[in-house]
Amino acid sequence: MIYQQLINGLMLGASYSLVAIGYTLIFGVLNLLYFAHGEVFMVGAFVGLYLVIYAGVDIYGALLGAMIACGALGIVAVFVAVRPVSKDRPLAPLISTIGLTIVLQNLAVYLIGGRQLAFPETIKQQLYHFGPVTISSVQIFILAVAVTLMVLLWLFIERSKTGRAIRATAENHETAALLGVDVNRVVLITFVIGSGIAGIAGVLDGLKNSSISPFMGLGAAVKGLIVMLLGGLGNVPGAMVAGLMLGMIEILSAAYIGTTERDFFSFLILILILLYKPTGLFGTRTIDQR
Amino acid sequence: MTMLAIHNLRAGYGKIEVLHDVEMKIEQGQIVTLIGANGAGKTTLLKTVSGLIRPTAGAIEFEGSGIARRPAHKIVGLGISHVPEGRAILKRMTVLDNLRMGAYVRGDSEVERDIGQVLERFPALAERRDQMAATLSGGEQQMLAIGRALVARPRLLLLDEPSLGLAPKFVTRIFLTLRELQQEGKTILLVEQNARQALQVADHAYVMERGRIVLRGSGQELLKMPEVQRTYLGQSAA
Ligand SMILES: Nc1ncnc2c1ncn2[C@@H]1O[C@H](COP(=O)(O)OP(=O)(O)OP(=O)(O)O)[C@@H](O)[C@H]1O
Ligand SMILES: [Mg+2]
Repeated sequence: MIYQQLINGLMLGASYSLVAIGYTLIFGVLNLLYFAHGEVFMVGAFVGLYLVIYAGVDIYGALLGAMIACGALGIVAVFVAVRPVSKDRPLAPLISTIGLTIVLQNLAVYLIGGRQLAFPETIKQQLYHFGPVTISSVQIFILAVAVTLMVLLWLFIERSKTGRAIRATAENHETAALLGVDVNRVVLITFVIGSGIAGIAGVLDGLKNSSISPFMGLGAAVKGLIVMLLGGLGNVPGAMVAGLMLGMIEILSAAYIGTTERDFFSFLILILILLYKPTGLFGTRTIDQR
Repeated sequence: MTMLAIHNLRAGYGKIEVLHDVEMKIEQGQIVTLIGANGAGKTTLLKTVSGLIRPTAGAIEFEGSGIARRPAHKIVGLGISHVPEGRAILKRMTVLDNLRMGAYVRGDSEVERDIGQVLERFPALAERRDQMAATLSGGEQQMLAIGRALVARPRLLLLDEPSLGLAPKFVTRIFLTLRELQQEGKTILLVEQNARQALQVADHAYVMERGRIVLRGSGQELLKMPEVQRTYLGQSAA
């Protein structure tokens, strides 16, 4: 029973991690809470859905398409909501990205209608039994994709030249520029990566819940933010681990404390973190620190 | 050959002009020292040369070509490295990653060799290569900042108060390093509060007051000027 719950928690947490990675990457380089991220996740889910239904692609095609479309959306977000607003007014990009959130959500409702759509079965459902634990083929697929993405991203951030430039930019724009980093370009790359991953997370969420809706972004955004805070602002490995942790905590608390409202625990954790450990579990910095 | 020539330079922050008509010339292979009181505009001048601040008027020529309107990330690639005030090392990165960032503008195969040379020059860094830079002492951080600038293979180094807040042992070490670098052919523009030592190593020196160059001459000449002694060397008029 406990193993089964742990697996379920891991599954839930993996998608939290993927959304939080984008938040934390973007927060890192811009010191900015990027509100439209949940909506990018939602767009990813719909792009995946429509690719499967109308273009007849398989799940890999859906993931790739969602990643590309959302990466492009990230570029649009930079040009529409980030660059035009003044850098000297820290709240300005906050407002403009909230604006982008509203636009994207309403656009989705307008195009799709405010209802849930069934996500087609693109992976043959099959159950595997390992002793007391039962895992479905869909679960294995989701976990494999999420873990692969996280490992690749971690290697990219830690080992590659561009990854180093992202880390340098996250610490200090002036210092990075003095070393030859084109900060605007790094910001753009960061949005593309974060948004692309959110797009993939959206498709995985559709697979997991078998349905998607134009309003799915908000829930993902809230969980992503909690995970980012838990993992430490701007801390990518922190977000990965914290996402898995939050997933486990939610599932275990629902299973053993017996509440149906697992969100209650997420918000409890959020409040505790903000009160007692504002730098997150793996501490980097707080919101007003730079 | 003239390495850096600055003409009628004006620059500042927003509407506030800090530098008024600054003139300066640095010949290849020289150490040029710039001294001045707090708030005189020394840091502003270095930031303008390295591209962090866009001048409002005037010209900056590096090896004969104008660079006054280029962004900072392009200027470092031309051969000017700026070691900013307060050792702007990347604290959440390892010593080695800081040095690798120094080579960001380079694409050649000798980067690892150059990093090795920096680690030889500053053995304290070699011992701590995999440590987070935040854990280094102030002196080690300054060495890292200088070492990181060297990995870019600059021909002109801009150093903003490298001895600030360091123990005498480290200050001596920094000035020794500057002389070594000069012998290796680097040109250096040095901003210092530690006026005596900075003028002693200088081939040429400038004094800035309220955004203007008010005195210039060889390091030795400035050391002997009564107004310099009074204001910057802390001596009563002899
Ligand atoms: N970011 C900024 N915005 C507005 N004004 C600034 C800024 N930075 C510096 N100044 C102003 O510009 C003037 C020159 O400052 P600068 O830092 O260049 O002096 P400095 O000679 O380097 O002084 P110090 O010896 O204290 O380092 C000062 O009056 C300062 O208040
Ligand atoms: Mg200064």
